[in-house]
Order: sequence, then structure tokens, then C-alpha cells
Amino acid sequence: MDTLRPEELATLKLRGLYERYGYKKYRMGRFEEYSLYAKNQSFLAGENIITFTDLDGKLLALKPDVTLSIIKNSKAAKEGREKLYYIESVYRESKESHTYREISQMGLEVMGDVDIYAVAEVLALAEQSLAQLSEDYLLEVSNMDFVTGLMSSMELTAGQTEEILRLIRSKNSLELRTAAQKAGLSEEESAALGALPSLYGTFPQTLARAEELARNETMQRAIDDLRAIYQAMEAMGLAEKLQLDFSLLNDIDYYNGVIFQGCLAQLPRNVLAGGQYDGMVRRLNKDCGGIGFAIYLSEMNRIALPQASCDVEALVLYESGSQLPQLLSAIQSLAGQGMRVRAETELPKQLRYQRLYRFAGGRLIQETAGGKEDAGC
Amino acid sequence: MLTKENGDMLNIALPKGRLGDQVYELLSGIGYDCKSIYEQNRKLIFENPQNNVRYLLVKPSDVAIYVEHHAADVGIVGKDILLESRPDVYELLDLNLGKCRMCVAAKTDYIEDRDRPLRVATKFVNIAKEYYASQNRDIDIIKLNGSIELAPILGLSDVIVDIVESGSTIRENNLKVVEEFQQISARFIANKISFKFKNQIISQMVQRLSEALTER
Repeated sequence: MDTLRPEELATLKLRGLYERYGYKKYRMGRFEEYSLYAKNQSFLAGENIITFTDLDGKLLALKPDVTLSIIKNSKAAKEGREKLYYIESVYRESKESHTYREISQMGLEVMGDVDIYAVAEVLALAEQSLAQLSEDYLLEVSNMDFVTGLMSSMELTAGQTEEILRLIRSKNSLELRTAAQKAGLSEEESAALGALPSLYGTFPQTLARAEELARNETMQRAIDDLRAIYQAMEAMGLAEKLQLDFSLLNDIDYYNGVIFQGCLAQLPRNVLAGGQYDGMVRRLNKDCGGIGFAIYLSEMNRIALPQASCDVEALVLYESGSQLPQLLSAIQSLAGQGMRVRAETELPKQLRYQRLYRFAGGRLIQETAGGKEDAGC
Repeated sequence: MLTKENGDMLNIALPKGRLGDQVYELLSGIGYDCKSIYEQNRKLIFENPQNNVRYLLVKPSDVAIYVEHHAADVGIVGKDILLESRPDVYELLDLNLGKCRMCVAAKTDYIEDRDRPLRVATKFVNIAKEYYASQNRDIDIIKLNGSIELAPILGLSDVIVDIVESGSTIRENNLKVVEEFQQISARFIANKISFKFKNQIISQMVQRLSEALTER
């Protein structure tokens, strides 16, 4: 087990976790019809997709996203929920290198009737997933309805809305107030928007501050839902690393309700992201809702692991023409003791080993410490 | 990447040059001094364990990259660079330093021909594209890395999009400012993950900075 990388170990543990909550593994092909993505571009992380023409003339794409395919293929309806999880590769452009990259992703989705229990369950699973990845994590939560509720009474053009959302996301209070005034919003509305970037912190305290800003039923319901979820998480002992941040916003056409992001102290970017996406499900002509999250396993590669002190425990040098049955069984017996064994005819360069054996006369002889060849680690 | 043992220090990416000097003066005045920074040497990292800060001296246009990738927790960077590269960071404060304007400039006798695409030479490709897209103006971009003012003189482009501070470079090269469309100043930015895990230290720094700024 200790030769597994953290992301491989996480995959195994998380599968167990999701199965225990009744989620079924969902496996899908690498290709999907391009039109699915072309129609829903702003749901995706980037614009560029690898496309190709199949032999029958259909335009296909290498999946840049899993959730869309699951929504499309799901048989869920209001009456019947589907609970799925997946481990898949997706293909996206890397903004830094301007090349395509293969990203390995794991995630789960609940599709059908999304009630507050479903939201709380997904959130609890997200947090337990993070806890498997590292001790030093945070799960940030927001409710999109709070911000959309606030903006619903404001008359803004699409461009202004986009600009305001971008400023909220970058916690730029000053420019947010200026942009609000420029858009002709009232003093009170500008102040409410300008307060959003600083609405973050622990649940009880932030919710109390947010409640003062609530000016309609949607906003109040968003707060009540968050409070109910927090109480449930608290009862499960999962409240300590839970934070609220109203500047966390996804695309407002697709997402609604509770959204969240998870991060680890060692990593520069979020390792988990998710939320409720009823808007997206409805766009694909399904009369139900959906919530889920994805974990970016590739990000875990960035965690620096402690340097292994050696590559193998045992290095066996044999001469060509040695008795094959004895040699193989000797090596098997070393491996059987739990050692990593490498058999070579001559000393490999750049291989770090603990013990050196020579195979001679049908048996293994260990080179003594301090000997000439004892260059091991 | 930050390792465990230096995780508690606050890493500040400071742009090399005049702006960086001004910002350091500001920060040292509110309790984040690091005397070794005055030593004349080629070191790029300076730290003061007493007040838990480490300064990284980087190229101004790289500050946002260091912060976005978590190599620095916070940084000071010009708004021009933020607009051009749109990094995923928190923009917490306007420091009102290094003020200048993003302008369109052309030869003093220039008259625009609206019947063909405008040729624009600039270092700020994305800013120029966005600006002209908002004007519905079709353009050809010529990306340059310096001495932008040469382009209209040699007929390489019709106009340039560049930052203008006093305007003397523009005037001395027989150019004029046609349009000012963006105010530029230095901004205090923070990595989104650091902001959560080191919230207390960063919030305190923002608090002290904004107090120092209102006093000035």
C-alpha cells in the first residue's frame, strides 16, 4: 500500500466511502457528441475542446467534462433519484501552456429531486473526501440564491452583471462599488453589493451578518437553508473546517442553491468543486434537479512527497548462465519477505538499494557492509 | 511551492524597481520591515523572522504569476498587468501608487480612417482587444515588447495602446494621446488559498495598509 501515490490511495478510499452511501459507479466512453458542448459552452471550464470526425461523419469530442454527459444520459426524474460516482479522464486546455492536458477526475452526482437532505449528504461526502486527502483542508460553502436574490431587483445588462460577478469573485470591494454606481444602482444597492466580498468566515457569525442584508424572500430562504445544513454538519462533527464565503460564485445560468469548493493548504488551487445545477439539468430538457462535485486528482501530483530513501531493498546480481530454477526461486523468496527486489547482471547506475546479493553456486550471498560495492543508501 | 517549515511566514512578492521601493517603504512603515533588503547584493529573497515576513523580488509582470501559483501569499502589482492576464486572485486594495493611464496614442497629425481595420501596436494585447471590442472596432494587433512609440512613427501601426505616466515619452516622440480609457495604479493581491489559511495575517495587513493610505 505504501508504494501508492496519494491520489491512487484516495481513489480507493473514496470509492469505499461513496459505495457505503449507496452511490453506483458510472463508467462512460471517452467520446461524446460535440453538439452537447457547443450548446452549453459556459458550463465548461474552457472554450477549447478536442474534436474529430468519426468514420460515420459525426463530429465527436474528447470529453472535457463528465457532468454534462451524466445529465444527458441520466434516467433520473423527479420521482426517481440517481446517485452516481465516477473516475474518469477529461481533456482540457491548460491556460498556462496553451496545450491540451489530460486531467483525472473523480466525482459524484445526485440527480432527481434535490431536497435539503441531498444537499447535506453531498456536502458531508465532499468534506469526508477532503479529509481523506489531507488533514489541512477547508470546505467553503455559499448559496447562489443569496446573490441572485440580491441582484434580481437590479436592472442590469448582461455585460454589467458579468462585470459585477467578476468583481465579487475577486473580492474587489472598491471597484465593485464604482461599477454599481456606474450601472445606476441606488446607494443602498451599491453598499449591499460592496459588502459581499467581506461576507466570509465561520458559519454562525457570517450568517448573522448576511441576514442583515437580506431584503427578499429568496435571500432569506438561502440563509435558512445554509443554517439548517450547518446544524446538520455540526451534529455530524463536520463543522470545524466548514466556512462560508458569499464571494464564491459559479455561472448564474447553470448553478443555483448551495455551491462549494474545497482546498488543501499545500495546493495552489482548489482540489474540489461542486454545487447544485438545476439550471443545467433543465436546459437539457429534464424536469428535475442535480447536485454533485468533482475532485481534481491530477492536482494532487503537486504535493511534495518525502523522498524515498531507496528504490529497492534488494539488488541481486547474477551471472548469465546461472541455474534458472534456483535463481527464480531465490528472488521469489526475497520478494516474499516483502522486499522490492531487482535482478540484474551488472550494477545499474543510479539505482539506490539497501542490500546487495550475489547469486553464485546456486544460492544467494549477501555482500557485507563496508565492502567495495556497498554504495547503497 | 511552500514547504511545511516556511508555511507560517507570509511571502510577499514585490515588484523590482521604483514601485517596489515605494511599496516596501509603505509596508515597513506599518510593521513589516526587513532591514536586509537595503543590503547591496543580488539576493532575491529577504526575510525577517521577527515579524514573520519574507520578501521576494520579482519582475513586475511576474508578481501575479507568483501569487496565483501560491509561491507567494500576497503581492503588489499594477492594474495593467491584472487586466492583461486576468489571474485568479483576490484583489484586496488599491494602493494609489504608481498611478498612470492606459491610453491610445497616435502621431500628432493622425486622422483615423474608419473604412479599414485599425492597426494597433501594443504590449497589452488582451486589453487592446477588449477595449476595441467594446467599441465594435475591427483591429489588427501587432504585439511588441518595448519601444512601442516607434510603431506609428515607422508606419508599423496606426495607433499604440500603452500606459502613460507623465506623457513626456509620448510628446518627445511627436505622438499625442487620442483616448484615455483606464486608470492604472498598484493593487494589493492575495492568493485565494492563502487568504483562507492565513486569513488573520493577511486581513491584518490589509487593515493596516488601508489605515496608512487614508492617513497619507
